[in-house]
Amino acid sequence: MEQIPQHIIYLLSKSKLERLSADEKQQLDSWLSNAPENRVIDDMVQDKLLFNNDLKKLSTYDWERSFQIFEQEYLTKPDSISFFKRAWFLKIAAVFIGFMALFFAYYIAGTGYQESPDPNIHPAKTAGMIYLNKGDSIALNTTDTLVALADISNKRANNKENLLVSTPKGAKLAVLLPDGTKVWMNAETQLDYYETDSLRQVRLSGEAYFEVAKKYLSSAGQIINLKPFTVQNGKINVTVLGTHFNVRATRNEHDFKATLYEGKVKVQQGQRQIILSPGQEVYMHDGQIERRTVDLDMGNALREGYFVFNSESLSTILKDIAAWYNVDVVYLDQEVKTEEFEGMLSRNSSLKDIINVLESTGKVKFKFKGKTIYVDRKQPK
Amino acid sequence: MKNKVNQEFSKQDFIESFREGKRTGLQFLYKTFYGPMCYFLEKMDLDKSIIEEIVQDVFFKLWERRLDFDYFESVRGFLYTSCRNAALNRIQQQTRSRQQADRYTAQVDLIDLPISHQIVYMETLREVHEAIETLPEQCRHVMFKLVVEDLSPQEVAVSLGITTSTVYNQKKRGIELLRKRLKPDQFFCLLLLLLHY
Repeated sequence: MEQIPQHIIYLLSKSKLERLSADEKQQLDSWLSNAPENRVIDDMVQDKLLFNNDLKKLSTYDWERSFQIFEQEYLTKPDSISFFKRAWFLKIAAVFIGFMALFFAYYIAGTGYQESPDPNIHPAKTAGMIYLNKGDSIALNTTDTLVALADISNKRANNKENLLVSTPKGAKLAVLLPDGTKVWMNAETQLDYYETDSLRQVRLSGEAYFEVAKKYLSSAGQIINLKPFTVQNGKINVTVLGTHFNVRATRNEHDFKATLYEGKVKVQQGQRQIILSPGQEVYMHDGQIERRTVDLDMGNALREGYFVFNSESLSTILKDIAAWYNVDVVYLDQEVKTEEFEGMLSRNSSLKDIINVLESTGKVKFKFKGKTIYVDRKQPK
Repeated sequence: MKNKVNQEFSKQDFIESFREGKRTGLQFLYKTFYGPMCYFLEKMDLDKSIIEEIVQDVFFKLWERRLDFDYFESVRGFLYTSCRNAALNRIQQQTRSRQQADRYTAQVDLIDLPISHQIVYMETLREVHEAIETLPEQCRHVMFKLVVEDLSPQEVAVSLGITTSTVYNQKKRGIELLRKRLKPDQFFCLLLLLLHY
């Protein structure tokens, strides 16, 4: 880059504040005659209206406020807030129920498989539960495409918003949070939202796509700051710097994924942090977050209604499908779990269509009994 | 406004402490360049929230690469240049409507200049602003009205509710203080001397 002539800056500044000496005047003039651009700069500096207006504008920026936020957002390590007090209970319950289900599945299994899935199995429907502060809850079962939660919380006078929204298996939900953020929730997802004067935070378990509403901190000064929006899962924090993104964070931390579609987000895991640009994704690798580039043309999985599998193992894929169609999966062959598949399928497909696609690869074979899918390796004939 | 005395001397000290990873050094740079960077971006017709984001990102990059910078001048060049690049990226990304693009070129002639000239203008602005900011309080008010608002001494006296002679006194004092502050960089004095002979 071209050298910045420091003495010219000095001469120009001095000419504004007091007179230049004859010598200095000469130096400035010789610089001015060097290039037409130099004259433009001098004209701008001497243009009282422009320059004085610029000076006034310069006084309006509050660097201290911005620096404070900068320190918080970029330089400090995140302090972890205790996550899901009820998580222990939920985990134990989930494991217990899981064992029970497996036990019964094996017990009943044996004879009488069907070749195709029960026609009563449908893709996820809009449904869910909303829990309010006082322990009240509302069951949702709507045909609305988007549920606005703004009204519920506006009734409370205090400035602390708190909401818990959850979807069971076989249900999906699109909600509008009180701050205007749109969230598309996958099945089996729990979202704990709270908002105070200075921050917005979501604790997420499951998968959701966020379109974060820009909300600004009210401030007396001229500078407008985005009210922080953070998605938290265990020790991982995703902080939004303005934006559309998807976070998948199941109970199993190894399954964590955050994909950015628009804007910018920062993902923090303890001391480690990654700032994502659109088209990038953070995933877990050996217990650590790592960055990779993804193909956004594959479509937005949740919002636009696709299952997108990017060389994913069969067990991951079927977990997703089991949640969406509210079915159980039993593996008759354990090795088949690690087979990888790629593809993009509509979330509105019937279960039969999805199964047909998976079977068409010639690697797996499915059998059905009620709401249970049995997975086996395709036997060579 | 504290610790502004002998600033020319201590600039390099701040750069040293910045390189060592100390917050005081970073804070000094933030304080010095935050306003000018924001305003520079504002002149490119960017949204306030985007400006804030760009400025903070640029400072974060600067912080991560602090060992690459030895001089105040190199930090300065990096900050303005990064702001400009980020802004141009944004403008391209947003693929603004034609109308807006027209407005943008019509309004801003600074932006058409080479980056080194843009920096000269922004830095002149910053120096003048900072020079006035460093004055003692009453003196500052008087000089602000005189230089920035371009009022006559009589008008200043009326608007501040002081006598005209106080205005003249403060002006004299202000000019003296500014003169002390406005010592050219010693390096450049030397350079000028060399050029002269």
